[in-house]
Amino acid sequence: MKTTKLIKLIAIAGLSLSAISPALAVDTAAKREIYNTNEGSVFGVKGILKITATIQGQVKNQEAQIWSNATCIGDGLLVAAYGSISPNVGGNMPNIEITKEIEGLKLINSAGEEFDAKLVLHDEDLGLAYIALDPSGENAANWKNQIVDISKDSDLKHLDKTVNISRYADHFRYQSAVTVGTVSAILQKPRKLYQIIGASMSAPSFNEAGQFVGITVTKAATKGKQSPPVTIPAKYIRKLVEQAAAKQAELKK
Amino acid sequence: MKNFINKPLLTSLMLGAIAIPVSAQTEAPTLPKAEIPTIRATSSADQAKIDAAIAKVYPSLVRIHVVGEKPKDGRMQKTGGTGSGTIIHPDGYVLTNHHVAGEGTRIWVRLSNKLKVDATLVGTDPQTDLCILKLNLDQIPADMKPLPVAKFGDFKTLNVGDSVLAMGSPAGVSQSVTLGVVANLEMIIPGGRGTRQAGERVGDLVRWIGHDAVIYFGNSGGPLVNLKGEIIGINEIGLGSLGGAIPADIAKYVSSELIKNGTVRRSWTGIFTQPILLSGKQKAGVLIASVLDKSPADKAGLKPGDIITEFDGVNVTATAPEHLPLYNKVELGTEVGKEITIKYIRDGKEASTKLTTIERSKALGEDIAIREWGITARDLTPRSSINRKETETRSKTDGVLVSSVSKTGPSAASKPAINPGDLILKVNGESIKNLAQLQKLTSSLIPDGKSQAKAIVEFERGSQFLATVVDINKQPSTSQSSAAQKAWIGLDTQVLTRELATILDLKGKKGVRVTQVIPASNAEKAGIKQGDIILKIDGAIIPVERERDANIFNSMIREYPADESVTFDIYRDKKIIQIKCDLETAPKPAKEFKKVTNDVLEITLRELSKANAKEAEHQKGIFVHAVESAGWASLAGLYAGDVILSINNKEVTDLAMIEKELERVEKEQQDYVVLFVKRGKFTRFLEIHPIWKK
Repeated sequence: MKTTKLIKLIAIAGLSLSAISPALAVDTAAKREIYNTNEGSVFGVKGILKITATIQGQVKNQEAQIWSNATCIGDGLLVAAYGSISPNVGGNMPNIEITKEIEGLKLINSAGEEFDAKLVLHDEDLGLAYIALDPSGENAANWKNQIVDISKDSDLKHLDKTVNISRYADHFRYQSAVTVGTVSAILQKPRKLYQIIGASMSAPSFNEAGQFVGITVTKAATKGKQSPPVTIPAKYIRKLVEQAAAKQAELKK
Repeated sequence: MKNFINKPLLTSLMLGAIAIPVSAQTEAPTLPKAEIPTIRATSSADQAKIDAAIAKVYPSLVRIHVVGEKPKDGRMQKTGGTGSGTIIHPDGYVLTNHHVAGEGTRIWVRLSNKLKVDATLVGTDPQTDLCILKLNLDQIPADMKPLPVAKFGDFKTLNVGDSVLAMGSPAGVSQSVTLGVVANLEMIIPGGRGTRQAGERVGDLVRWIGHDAVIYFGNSGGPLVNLKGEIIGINEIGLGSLGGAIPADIAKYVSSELIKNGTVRRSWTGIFTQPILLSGKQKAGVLIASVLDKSPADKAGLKPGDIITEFDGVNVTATAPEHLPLYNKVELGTEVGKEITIKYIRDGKEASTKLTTIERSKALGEDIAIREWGITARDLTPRSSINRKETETRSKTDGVLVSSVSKTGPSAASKPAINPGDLILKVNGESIKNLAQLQKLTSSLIPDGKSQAKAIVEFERGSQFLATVVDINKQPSTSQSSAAQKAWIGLDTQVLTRELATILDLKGKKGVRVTQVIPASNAEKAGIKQGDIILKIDGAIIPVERERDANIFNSMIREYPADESVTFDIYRDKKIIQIKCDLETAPKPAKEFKKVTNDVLEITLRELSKANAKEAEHQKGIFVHAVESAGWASLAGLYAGDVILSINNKEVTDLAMIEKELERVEKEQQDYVVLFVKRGKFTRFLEIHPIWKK
């Protein structure tokens, strides 16, 4: 009786162990390495979004706290999803004019250190925002870069896997998080965009070779319809870096 | 005088309850007299009484317009409103509710003949929700004097079932009259909650006259009139289908005190009462629920559970909540500083004690914005500090109570952040007694008003004593990002759907239809017209066929460098033509324009945008980007989206010009600023009439 039970237990344990194949274990280790290499380049972003709604000529003000992620792509220059910092408020409702202003923008690293920052450039078409460290802001001297290489393009296929890295807000003490994503859809026109299941808003995705793929954003809604999150490939992010760097340089003046 | 009634309207509305202030008579155009309305009664005898009553009070009825300020998000924000009132004195004193005008910074009224007259606040009494204004008699022509005045009636003669008239300006419309009957002479709000005005519970002193004469927002402060044509109450609240009016005896006393002294002084003992318990042996008297430490009642030895039977020679009893206002009237109405005798029952035995009343302080201090801190705050009063701590070095009223905080101001940015409800007690080690001291200290820390200063601030939150560092006068760091520069052509388009293509003899073709050509854009210069159908860009088909493809055309344009040209294949008049068009850099979006904000008029202005077809239509002028709600410009009727063409009869040439002109207006503290504005296709003149703060 006792022997039979023991055999059963060994059999169950064997089945459990065989479920983790050596190949998968190696695969996981490789993805973990990608995460360990890049998690320091993902910062938290917080600030106050001041929304002014003009309804039939009368102004109503509202303030809301924002939390997002940004990826360091240059010296003190980061890219984020514009919609997560300046969301589409009020849709395209008629007779309502919405203006938005971002105040007290800060970048937060894994240690919870805050750095003053400015939104320097945005592209509503692509849903991208470029944020720069404020060189005259508090704590700027303690800023440390860990820059992601966005110079290469990664051509993904359906069902390819990605490593997606994000950073939590203060409720989880600014810890980074990682998920494995799957390319579920590819849009070809007018631009190539990916839909990656498992990617986080405003956070970067990497391919299995550790190359930067892009940033996940919500593109501007058209005709009141909300677009699903999409990952903007590196080549579109690169195109605007020059303009963003020029705006960043103005902060130093 | 001949009056007539708008009969169709009357019969279609509640029988006999709606007044229509109409008259066929025309008076002298310069000084029209009030048009006296009437209400149809069921008998001719009643009709005569109603007509006479209306005629006695209606001429003294005024519609009140008020601009007030309330603390919100770290600043005093303007609020606008209307209410009703009655002229009760030939010197121009008007009686209304505290909640209509008691916190007004600018007040004006429309008399019953529609003459507009400025008014000032004489005094206000939140506890009875009454207030007195004074009309500017200089604005009233001599032949309108003496002013028509309404008289108070005797509340004691009023009975349930009596007919009464409610007069006022519901929803800010012209003075109106409705008819109803008295439903209740001792109406209270169930649960004893009452309504709070400036921290005072109005139901502590007032038992309302409940009536069913229809009243609405805007009737507040208007008179409830008996059929003798006397003020028998002042409308204040609505409770279900019943209106509630403050009885005339209270209104008469309070208005007399306010006219005489500008305030109503009341006694305070520190006693809180409730009706006697049903389970108790004592069947009469007023039960003491609570006695405040160190109050006159505490010093006199009174305790919770004592039952007061006599207060300063007056027998008192409260067996139901309706009775408490009567007791309060006795206690609060006692002369301030008078030594009185209180008889009470403790443990079934009669006893008495003497106490000297003290003056009842305000429930709340006045809110003031301290811009440098990004907060509004107020002083503590003896009553608002009842539950505060007291130490050897600190009295209960010491400190500054924060009432609201700007989320982007320095107080909110401090760590820990200062919150509404916090009590600031020390700044840089200096004890803060009151607002005046905090303001003085702030001025000393930033004498030029522009610099910044770090200050250690110690404050009380609940039972904690916290410390933080506030960067006084630090302005929020704002991000004004630029939109990425892309190619632009100055066209708005719609997708050529399959259905459109078929009906336009373009079956199987793909493209976009031009819905708008932005004035002065390269598209207009190239000759592209509204209604053109663009089929190709540089020979490439535009891959659109459904509405969801709306952004593809613009995306294709944005892929080009801004300094290139493109050639469009355009279908026009059943022919395909080619038009070459230079691209240009997209105009700066309006939100990136330099904006000028005028803090006095509370408006934000900018140049007209070339990217917006509506704005591009205007050849000149300055665009009104935002108008703060209930600011001076908003009150004058300026809307965001208006285009200012001239200011004080001077043509507006650019942003710098209007900025300079507004600076001049502010420096000279001009009484009126006249704007000539364009709204859509129409123009209009607006008069802004600000109050200049000293």
